[in-house]
Amino acid sequence: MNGRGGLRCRASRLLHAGAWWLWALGLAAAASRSTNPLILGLIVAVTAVAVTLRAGDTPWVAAYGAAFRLAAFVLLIRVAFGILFGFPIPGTGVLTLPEIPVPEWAAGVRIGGEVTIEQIALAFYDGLRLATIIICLGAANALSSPTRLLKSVPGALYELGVAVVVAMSLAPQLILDAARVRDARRLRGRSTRGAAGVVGLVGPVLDGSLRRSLDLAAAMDTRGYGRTAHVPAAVRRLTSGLVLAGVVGITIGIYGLFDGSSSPWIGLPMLGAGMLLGGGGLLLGGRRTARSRYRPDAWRAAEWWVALGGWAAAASVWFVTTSDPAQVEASVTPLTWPALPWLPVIGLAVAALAAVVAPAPPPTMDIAPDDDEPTRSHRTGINSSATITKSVKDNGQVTEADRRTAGVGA
Amino acid sequence: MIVFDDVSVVYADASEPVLKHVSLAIPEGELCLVVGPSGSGKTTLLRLVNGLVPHFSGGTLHGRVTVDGRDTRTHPPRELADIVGFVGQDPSAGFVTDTVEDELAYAMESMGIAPDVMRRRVEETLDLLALAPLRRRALRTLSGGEQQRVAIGSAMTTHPRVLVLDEPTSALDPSAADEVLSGLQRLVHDLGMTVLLAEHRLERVVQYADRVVLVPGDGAPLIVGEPATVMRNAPVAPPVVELARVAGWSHTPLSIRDARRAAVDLRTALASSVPLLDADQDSAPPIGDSLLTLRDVRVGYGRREVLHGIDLSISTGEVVAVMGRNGAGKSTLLSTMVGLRVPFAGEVCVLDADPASLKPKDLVARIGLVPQQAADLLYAESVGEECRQTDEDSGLESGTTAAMLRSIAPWVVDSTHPGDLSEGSRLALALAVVLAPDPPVLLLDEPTRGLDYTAKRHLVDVIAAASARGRAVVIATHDVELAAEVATRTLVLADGEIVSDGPTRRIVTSSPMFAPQIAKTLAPLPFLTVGDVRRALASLPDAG
Amino acid sequence: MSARSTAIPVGRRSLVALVVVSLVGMAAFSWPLVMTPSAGIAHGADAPWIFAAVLPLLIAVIAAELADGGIDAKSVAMLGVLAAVGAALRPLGGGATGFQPMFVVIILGGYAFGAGFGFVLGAVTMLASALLTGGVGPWLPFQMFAGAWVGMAAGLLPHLVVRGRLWLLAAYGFVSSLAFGLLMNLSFWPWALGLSSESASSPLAYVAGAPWQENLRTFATFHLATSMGWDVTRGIGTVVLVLVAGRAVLGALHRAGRRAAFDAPREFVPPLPRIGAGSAP
Repeated sequence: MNGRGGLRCRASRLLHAGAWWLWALGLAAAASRSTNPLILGLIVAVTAVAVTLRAGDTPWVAAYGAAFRLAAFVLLIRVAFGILFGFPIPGTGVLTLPEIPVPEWAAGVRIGGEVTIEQIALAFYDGLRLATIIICLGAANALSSPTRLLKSVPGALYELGVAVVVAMSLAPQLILDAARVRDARRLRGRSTRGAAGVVGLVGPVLDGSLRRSLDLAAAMDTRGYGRTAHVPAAVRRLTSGLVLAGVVGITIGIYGLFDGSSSPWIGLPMLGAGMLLGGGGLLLGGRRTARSRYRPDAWRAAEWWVALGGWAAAASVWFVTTSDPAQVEASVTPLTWPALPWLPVIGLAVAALAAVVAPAPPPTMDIAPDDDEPTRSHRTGINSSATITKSVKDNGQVTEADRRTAGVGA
Repeated sequence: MIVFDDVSVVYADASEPVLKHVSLAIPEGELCLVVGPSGSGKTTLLRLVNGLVPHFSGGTLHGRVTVDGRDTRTHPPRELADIVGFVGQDPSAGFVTDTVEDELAYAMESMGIAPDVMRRRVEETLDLLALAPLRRRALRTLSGGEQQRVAIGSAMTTHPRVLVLDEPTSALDPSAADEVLSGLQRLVHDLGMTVLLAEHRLERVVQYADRVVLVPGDGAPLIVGEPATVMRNAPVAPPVVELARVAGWSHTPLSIRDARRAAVDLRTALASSVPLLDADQDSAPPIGDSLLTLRDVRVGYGRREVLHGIDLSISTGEVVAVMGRNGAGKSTLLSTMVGLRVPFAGEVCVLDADPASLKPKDLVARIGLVPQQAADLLYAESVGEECRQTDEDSGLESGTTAAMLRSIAPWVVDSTHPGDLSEGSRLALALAVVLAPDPPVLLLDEPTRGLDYTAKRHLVDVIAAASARGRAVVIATHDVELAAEVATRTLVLADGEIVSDGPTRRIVTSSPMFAPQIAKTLAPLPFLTVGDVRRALASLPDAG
Repeated sequence: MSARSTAIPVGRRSLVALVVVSLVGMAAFSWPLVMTPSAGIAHGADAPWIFAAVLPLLIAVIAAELADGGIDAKSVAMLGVLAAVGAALRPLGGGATGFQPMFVVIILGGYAFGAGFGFVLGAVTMLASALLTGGVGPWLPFQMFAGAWVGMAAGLLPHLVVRGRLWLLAAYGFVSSLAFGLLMNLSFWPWALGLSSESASSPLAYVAGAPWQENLRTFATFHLATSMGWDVTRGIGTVVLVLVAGRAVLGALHRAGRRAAFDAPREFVPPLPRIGAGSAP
């Protein structure tokens, strides 16, 4: 760590969990405003750069790959809907589907029929936008795992944060338990194939995990979970008041949004105010738990750069949308190749730069000992559980080969 | 420090008190050992100190428990967290966070301690328990001993005055257990902590204790006193104490060192009986046909090979103990024998069939395995239902399994849910279920984990009976006392290979780590168990 | 037969918050039908994003209210475990059939432990499973809300004798699966078929500014054409699972509730009277 401040000389540390999420949300906001495939493609590229350079060595990195798969699936669905239910846009016909007759009361709707390339293109652009948002959120997952984010949850939601953390760390364990109980079924002379085999796992696995939950609860109680701080009555009343005002504000804001004839002040501004008040009430409500934080993540300059970088991209796209909408919307009639406006490119470059400038994560020392009987799996994150469950879906049972490749022990 | 004032506990759905009229005072800085059979109320006693009983578990508390002046009636567990640290039986079930460092800090976070103080205390605890190289590791990847140390560390960061541990070494092999216990010793001597400890494997621990509390169970009064006094007449006692009874010593030794000093005369007297032991060997049942063969078997997970080229043959009537440190491949070997793991190379043959390719029903008729967690085998609603289902599954006469269970563990009630049974009863039920179809080969994986001496004795009887009937039994264990008691042959597995294979007497006495207490006491004479000594003494010409 | 354990009690203030926020949430779900044509944002593409941002805050508010008295460690641990079961089951369903076994966990958990627990269980299960399987998208807040309602309503079902309750739960499972699908489709509808501010890209798309009857009709057609198949499969799958595994699961939950002793009394009384000799030395 030296004071020259050059790009390469930053000490490696983990950024505050919120910084990457804000960055990714900024990119997602940028994506939500545009259907220009070039802009969207550039956004995906920026996330790929960030994940390659700055994602640590945790099992959560697989979330990025999973996001791509999900995005592809969503894109496919959207295009399929566009082909089946799309409004006939005149243009070059590509294929003709049989038209399905529609009942009387749904007249005016067409299912099937001739499909033009303009129709497909429209569906594709739309789906691409949603896919890009999913990829941005997947990148956020990969760059800064949700477990770290849950540590920064406001005090009022502490208990629920704990529940989510417990759920996420227990889920892979449950899959291992199920594998073990499956083996034991074979030892009892029962078949493990088919529906009966799967249902027979339910009782023991559930029983075992509920029993373990009780041990967990005892351990939490023993270590002081649930100690409350004394909160003066005035603060308590203030908290309730803020939350109430927030909910009222949101309600009025939503009503204002719905009803076009009301004044513009009872709409988004009211909604915004309501959300701020409600958020304030939540933060204040955290006072009742007397908890401190061990080595809390610091929010330093690097976090500001990263967060603002993402929103710079969003701002650039928004600006172009208001000044010249045609540039961010891909036109379908006529179907022309979209142009790439220069402002969003600069904005996205800033976002990419922010990711590069951020400090690298320290290498995780997750090396397991030479333990030949991995009753605990070493890297059971999304990876191996996804592999196992995929096999269960496919064959109805986990074969030996699947278990071996997933590296999970008995 | 801890005062029980005429305490009785009745749980919410029970009619009889678990503990009755307990009055006990444990002064500061003592290491107090709580012993007693399974289900006698030891866990309840420990949880009273913490306030978990009755705040967490429900129930009625008669009388009063005071810890460092605080009354548990008015202080629930979270308010005692700064003076009492509690480590439960299964450390991995009590982990609240993901990494070692966060786990150590959790208790302090709950108490709102300032961040710099937390940081300092975490560093101290890491040093105290030698956890510094593990600090950023995920808890799931740690070994059993390391997890236990982390659990103790996380109970200690709040600087409690009292540390309560419920069976801390039950899942550990001897070397890991020694690490943990010597760590506790150091805490008591260097930090003046009061430690309250419940253990079944007394031989590891009784030498360190300042005071012993014997909980007989069934509401009988507790017996409290110096270790030597209590152990002299206790129903559960380590082998050296039983040796003292058999040899008629006036002073009860608790450690190997004391026992060796007291056994000088005994060794001289027994020197002449050694040839008889070898004669014992010859009168063992003749080895019959080979039931289970492994030829050059290589097994592993993913791309990693765990067992490298195992060659093994097990015949009728043999009782084989497979020993080795945790992680050497014992469980993998047993899983391969029963066909749950398919080897990369080599052949496994059980009664002329490959177990991996057998149908479950055929498999069960040939070979049975009781896994490490016996509860995995049990999934009916009640014990009776479990027995009935086994009879059905294996085509046995109705009532066979129930009769088998009654012969092993007559005290088990038919209507209990298997999950509510104690460790010993659960193992007995699993044994009954596996033994009912009477397979020629029986495999047991770590059967003595969590068992008290009485249950262990029942287990030894069952194994001996099976062997007498001509069944082959293979036991993977690191409980050397069990191996000494019942095994005719011992294999030692290390780094995926068999490093020694021979008669138990020879293997077990050749290595100091694996020798049972009697062997260590009477070395160089090759006596393994109290039974050996008793028989030898009886055969001496001037025996009365 | 079995008294229900209430893992998370719902006080009067929490109840009020629950009702109010549920109504607001309902509005958020049904905005495509309810918005008037002249509303400012009706023509923009912003409405779904605004609601996707508002819903998490609303869920947080209810959660904070329910947690106000402090949630017991046992309830939190049980919540975590059941959510883990649901999350582990989620990859098994989904895909082409729409079958979601994790629903069964939410329904049975809510039934066994009460409405408050059911609400939180639904939300936490959806969140944890989305995080674990990487299925985080703009529909997550809507899913959390809908899942929470399913759990809460399950907790409000009456308690029946053993035989009857499985059928009741199966019926509820079918209805709630369909309702869940309907709600999710309603919220996803603008995304599925286009938010373009151009002329409608599909006759089945949400037409910003059209009168609500027309939107309703369009939506109904869209729903029947697309999601109904999946919803019916999900419903049938849920019914089958409840009938087959319901007894085992409810039994395990009931035993866990008993062991956890949520409602068991804790009493502190004077020492027992002594009969005969004194205690140990």
